[in-house]
Amino acid sequence: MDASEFRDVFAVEAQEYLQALNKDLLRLESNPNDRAALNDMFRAAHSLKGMSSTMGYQELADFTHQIESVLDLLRVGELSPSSSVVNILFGAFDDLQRLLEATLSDGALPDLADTKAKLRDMVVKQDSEQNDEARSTQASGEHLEIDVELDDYDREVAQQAALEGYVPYKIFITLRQKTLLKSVRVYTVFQALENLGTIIKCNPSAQDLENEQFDRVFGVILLTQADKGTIKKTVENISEIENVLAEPIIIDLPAAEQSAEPSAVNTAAAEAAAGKDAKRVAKEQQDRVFQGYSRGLYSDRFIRVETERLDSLVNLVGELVISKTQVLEINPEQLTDTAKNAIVQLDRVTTDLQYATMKLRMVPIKQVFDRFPRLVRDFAQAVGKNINLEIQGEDTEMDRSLVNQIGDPLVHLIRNSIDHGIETTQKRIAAGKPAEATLRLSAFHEGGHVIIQVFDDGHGFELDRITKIAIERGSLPADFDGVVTMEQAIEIVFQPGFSTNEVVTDLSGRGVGMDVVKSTVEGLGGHVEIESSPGEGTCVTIKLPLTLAIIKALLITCSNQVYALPIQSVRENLLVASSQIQTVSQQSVIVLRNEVLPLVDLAEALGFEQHHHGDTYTVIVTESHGEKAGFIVDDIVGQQEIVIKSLSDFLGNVRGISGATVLGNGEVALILDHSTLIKGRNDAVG
Amino acid sequence: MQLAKTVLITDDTAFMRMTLRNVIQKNGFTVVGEAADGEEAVNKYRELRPDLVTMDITMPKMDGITAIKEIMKFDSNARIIVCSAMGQKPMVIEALNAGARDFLVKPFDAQRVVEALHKASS
Repeated sequence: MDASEFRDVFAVEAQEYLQALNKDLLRLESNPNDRAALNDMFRAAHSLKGMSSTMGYQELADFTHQIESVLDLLRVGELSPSSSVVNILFGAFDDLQRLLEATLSDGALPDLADTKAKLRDMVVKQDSEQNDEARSTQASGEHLEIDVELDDYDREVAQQAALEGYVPYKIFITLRQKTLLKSVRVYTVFQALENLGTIIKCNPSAQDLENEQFDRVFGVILLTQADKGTIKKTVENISEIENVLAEPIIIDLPAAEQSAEPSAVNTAAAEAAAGKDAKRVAKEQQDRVFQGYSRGLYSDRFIRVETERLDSLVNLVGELVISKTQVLEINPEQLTDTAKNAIVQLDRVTTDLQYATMKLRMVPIKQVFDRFPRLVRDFAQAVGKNINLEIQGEDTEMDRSLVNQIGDPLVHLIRNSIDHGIETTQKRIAAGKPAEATLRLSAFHEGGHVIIQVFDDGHGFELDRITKIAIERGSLPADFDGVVTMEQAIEIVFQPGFSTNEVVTDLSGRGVGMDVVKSTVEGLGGHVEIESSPGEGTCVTIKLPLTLAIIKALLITCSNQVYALPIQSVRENLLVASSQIQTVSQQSVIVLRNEVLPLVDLAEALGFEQHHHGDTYTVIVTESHGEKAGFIVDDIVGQQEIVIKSLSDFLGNVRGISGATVLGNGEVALILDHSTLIKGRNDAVG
Repeated sequence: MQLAKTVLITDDTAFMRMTLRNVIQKNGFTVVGEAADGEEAVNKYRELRPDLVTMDITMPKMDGITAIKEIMKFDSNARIIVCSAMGQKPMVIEALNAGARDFLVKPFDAQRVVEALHKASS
């Protein structure tokens, strides 16, 4: 079967099964009596095996089969899930992952001999039908010479039966080559024949047939009232039968000639009845077909769609939103009432469409969270800490592109918690805390945002240590006295390259710090907050927008160009008189409600010449991470929904610009990244 | 006029359903529905009354054997083909006893699938 077109679906689903396997093994590890977990695992492995062999990925199918065999032993209780067994399985799942990736990328398959040997060792005592199956498939070609003879006892039975109109038939059946589950096929044949009469003998023996100790041919003797044609038809109607031979056995008996008569009559009657039935059944079937067309064809609840197609839909909807904006900009006086009504309707439908499209891109965060139980287990084992992972809100939905990108920052936060936040068991006990630490991962919606929190009940920020390291690293002056406050500590932690690691570990390593987490999250339009209380724990909160593709923005002009500022960062607009602007340490500032805000001339920040005239300035106040700033702009255009288009890779990262959008009139507007604009200016000053 | 026979596909993997659907539809049958577990299969059978059902054995919620029993209770003439993997012999036999007409062994051979469908529907 040519299955290459199914490769993508296979890849996605196989990945899901692998994740499920890992997850269920964790369940089993925490509760060795969890039969549901075992059953789920067995089923997942089983499905994966079937899929793999259908795709023709033999190596993958074989390896999964080995895993499945072990799971089966666990399931039936012949093997107990000791930690060594669980660890071997975890290793095997990792290998399976590598094998899957290699298979899908047509790369060189990894060498799994080691794992295979371990798996095999566990299955040694298994005496399964697979072996039998393998043995019997090997023993092909040779044609067994088979005959069935009646012995004296059989003959007596046959004679007795013959008095009641039963005739013994010798039936030879040949199975098709490569028939799978031969014994079950034989069983089907027996079942069908038993409907016609009684089987009194078979060759090979029932035992051998059961164990598939035969090639392709077997014979039976059937006592029946049916005729030869019926017997042949009955058997031929079973799948995978190559050939049927049926011959009556002549028995010396005076009553023998009578036997054929009643059976013929019976069959005829039965056939007549069946004919009538067939017409009725056919009619019913037709009705059903029509019913099927009307409701059945569309009854599937889920479809899988390539993400590329979804993205192009989102893009098109984006274009539509732009066109809609264009239409809405038409002067109402130029329009008839009909046109106005149509536009109102267009506006509403477009907004709904936009919303529905956004929903299409939403996926549960589960996709990311599912990786973590395994990760936490491995990390915790590596550092010898006892950690209970709690996951909350895994069904929380967010934009697919966010889900794809939030994984790495989360892994980093989890590593941090396990490595730095959570104490060793001894220290915990000494501090009067439960020996088992809690690491909680939660997600929920709040307003137009998705909140993800990583909480650990470790020792929190150790201010004295952070102070010491900050001094060593030069973040604080060498003569710094005392300890930093929590606020300062958090600021320090976000600085590039900060790490409290004394020893380079496998997990956290060195160099990648919270600053990377922060910049990744901010790149996604979100921000990171840390709360920590010494001795009680640390909670890192990531706040992300629900979607990335379409945002509300404030359009402004500066140096005759239109720019967009994401509305979520805009706090207010002001008209500021030039007399209100003050200078503090060479920086322009304004005082707003007793707060001192740095004032940035947008034109200057963007590298244009200042060209302000008049006594008043239009100022937009923005906020990012609690820091406010004022931007002097030329004019405010208004609020609008914009579709974010990223700048091409060719341009790379442009400081102060996070993307571009096409406006209603077809003009391109750059989207400003206000936080880097402030930073850029601060850097220039400092 | 002879109308295409209708088939309900039951398997917990979308991939398998897709593979089967492909084979089945290419060979003159009409797939009227797909079910991802036994429970869904029973419900869909009641709703769609398909001529034929393909039934996977190991599935979440309700396994294939229970589903066969449920369907046979509802319609003793139901034509169900069990789909199994190697090594599920006892289950296949149980399914046959429960009323399944035929069985297929994964990996599926397209010809075998079509043969089974034709034989079960005749």
